[in-house]
Amino acid sequence: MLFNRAKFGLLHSTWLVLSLVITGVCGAWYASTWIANGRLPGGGSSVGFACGVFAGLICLFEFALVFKKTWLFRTCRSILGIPLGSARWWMAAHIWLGLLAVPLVMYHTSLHFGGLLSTLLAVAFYIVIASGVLGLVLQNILPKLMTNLVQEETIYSQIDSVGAQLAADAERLVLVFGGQPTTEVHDPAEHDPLAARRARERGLPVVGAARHVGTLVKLSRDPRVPTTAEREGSPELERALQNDVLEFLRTGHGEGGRLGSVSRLKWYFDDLREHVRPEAREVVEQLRALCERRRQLNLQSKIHFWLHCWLSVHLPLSVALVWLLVGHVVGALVYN
Amino acid sequence: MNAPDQPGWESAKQRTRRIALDYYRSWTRLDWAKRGCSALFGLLTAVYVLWTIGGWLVGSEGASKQFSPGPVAGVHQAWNGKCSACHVQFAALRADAEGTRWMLGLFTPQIIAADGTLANPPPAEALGSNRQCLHCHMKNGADHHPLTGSAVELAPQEATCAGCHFDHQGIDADLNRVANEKCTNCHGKLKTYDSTQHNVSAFNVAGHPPFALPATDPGNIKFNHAQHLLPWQMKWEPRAGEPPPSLKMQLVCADCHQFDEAKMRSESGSEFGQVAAGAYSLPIRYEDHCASCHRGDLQVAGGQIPHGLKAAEVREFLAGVVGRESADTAKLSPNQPIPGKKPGDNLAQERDASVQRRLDAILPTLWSPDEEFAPKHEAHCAKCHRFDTPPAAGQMPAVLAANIRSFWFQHAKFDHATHRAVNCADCHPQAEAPPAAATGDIPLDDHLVMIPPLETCVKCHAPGKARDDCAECHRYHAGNWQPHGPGHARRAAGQQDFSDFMRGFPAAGVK
Repeated sequence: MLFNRAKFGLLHSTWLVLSLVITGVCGAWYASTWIANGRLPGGGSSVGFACGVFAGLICLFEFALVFKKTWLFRTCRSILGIPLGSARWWMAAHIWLGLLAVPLVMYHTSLHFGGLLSTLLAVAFYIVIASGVLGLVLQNILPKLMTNLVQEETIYSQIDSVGAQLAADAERLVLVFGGQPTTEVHDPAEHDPLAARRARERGLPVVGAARHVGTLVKLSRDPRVPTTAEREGSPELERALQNDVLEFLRTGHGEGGRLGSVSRLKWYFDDLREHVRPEAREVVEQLRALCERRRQLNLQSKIHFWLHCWLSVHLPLSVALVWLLVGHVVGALVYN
Repeated sequence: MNAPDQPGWESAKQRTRRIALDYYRSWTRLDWAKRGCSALFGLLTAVYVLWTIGGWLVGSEGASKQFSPGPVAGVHQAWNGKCSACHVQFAALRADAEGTRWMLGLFTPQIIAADGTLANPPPAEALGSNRQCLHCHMKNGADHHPLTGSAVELAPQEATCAGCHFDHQGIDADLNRVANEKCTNCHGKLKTYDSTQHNVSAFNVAGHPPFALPATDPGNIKFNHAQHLLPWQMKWEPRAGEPPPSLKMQLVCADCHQFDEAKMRSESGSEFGQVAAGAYSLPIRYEDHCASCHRGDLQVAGGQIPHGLKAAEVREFLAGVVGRESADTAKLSPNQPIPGKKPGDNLAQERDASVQRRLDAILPTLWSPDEEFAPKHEAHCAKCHRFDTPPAAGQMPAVLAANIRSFWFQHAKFDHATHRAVNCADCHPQAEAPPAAATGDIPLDDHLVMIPPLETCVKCHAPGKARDDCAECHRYHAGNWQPHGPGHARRAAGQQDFSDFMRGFPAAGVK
């Protein structure tokens, strides 16, 4: 969910005010109890208990977002006539209630975590909150960064597949220019098992850049077909293709990182451009464009990792948090 | 790459054709990490939580321990994992657990009280908290508080043991260190119940009454602290046939006011229970603290009166001393017959009369309040002692007991050892009173109560300085007056079976 001043809007303002009011009311109640008793209220005191119950219910609501995002409720608008709310409303509630739970938990615990179970619960809670806040910050920064830096953005899971297709395209470019077909023709299906499987199921040959949507279409000449060179090929181009370009396009890594950055990539192809015949320079430019595209996909992969890695902490600990919450409730009621 | 005229340009349609429509069915590494970790964490936590809950249901000590908010105090360590030794399930122990109590009340609106009746709302006793405590800390002895049963009624949650002494604060926690508010709940409004009492709100001049000390020192030893602290005191070293030499010395407070725990207990018996080492001064004893200088004050007629004799014993002792002198003289008489008198009997009568006369001359000097009346270097009891009534002629008055106090506070404790870094005179300035301007004499000060007032204590014991909480000086149950402790009766009455003790309650259940 993106925050900005222009779009903060009524939704977030409402949640912000509501959270501040509840925090203030509970804080005043807590302070008055503290002053009256002369010591920090425990979790079983009126204010501690109320804050604990409220925070517990918030935790359960927060966890409900997991189910809201499943196929069962993703498109469901209401249950038994009760509107479920939009995804935007859910995310706003998730964020603001999660933040509201922090002071409530502090009022409940008075920063004393107690035994092992309740300590685990508190630690899980604070890590979940911290990872959620980190995620919120990252989700507000990185997408803009990605838009600016990665113009060739594609679907994250398809980066390697697209890279393989770019490699096949590069190979074809050099072949068309007059080069020799590689003795070991790259099979893009190796890099996209799903596409290969689906192609084989249909009895189609897998050649060049695999097209696994609809009918396989060959966009260029079959690279397995040896060509009779109408013009003399460029050994420099073929050497660059075999030594650096293909590997970089397929894997995103190259020997010595020669193509790993904008400047290196520029130096590499400027140098190559100086060494090839003038008619091959257009191919060099096209290879450079393919490598630049792959470089951006690499960058997208890194940004995507930071954009979503916090979820690998947030979600698992949220699951643990709910279980620990159950244990804490039982323990608190049995042995208060 | 966005411009169509640039190398490698692709239209949107061309780009989409690079992507499989069912791409979303495959998981990325991040998807695997997120879902895999969720499953793993969820499974591990579920096993842990279900183990703890299951352990509670079957009474497993290790599992139940997971619910513990912290280790219990050292005195309760034997029951650290045995929740049932102190807790009654689904009963809030803590005084401030109103929230939990309300919640439990929703599910158990009718609680069976200890006497079998239904109670709603449940009294603290029925919730079982005190029951478990009092099983060991038996309540058959002194009341929890002198006001128990009076017009002062504590709220049920305050009347529970855990209302003031809640545990699980760590092995080193002192359960007697209750919060001030536990005391001031009642002591802050004592005047409501008894107009002669003082309200106590805090340890300061405004919030705490003056120390309850006697107006004068009830001791019966004539004494002068300042005189004894003057330099060049003369130490008595008797030598045969010679006047005492003048061994000069400087006394300090600790020469007489000595501190030792072990000796204190043996000297004072069990009345005061255990006191910390060095907390109080040992009793002042003539043999330990006076005799080295004042042995000469007990010499009379060439004899040394043993200290501690009663009045009749002093007379008998002196009669023996004086009679021995007469007998020594009479040994010469048989060889020197006196005309008109029988040898022997007449001499004995004469000797008896002589002894009586001598005694009549000596004894009044012993108790005469006028020191000058007593010969120099002769015994003079009245120099230090006071007597109950003016003596009849020829009779020894009874010497009043010294009555030198070691304990001044009946409801508070003090530890000299923790204050040893401070000069004695800073708290007891009266001991160094200057000489009177008119005579230059240093007056007796034994009637003065030299316990410092509250104003002296609050110089250090104040918020932000030395501790100033009630429990720093006061012990509610078992301070210096042991009978206040609820456990006292258990110690005096009967003990438990070992297995019952370790279980926390009898095998047949809590009665």
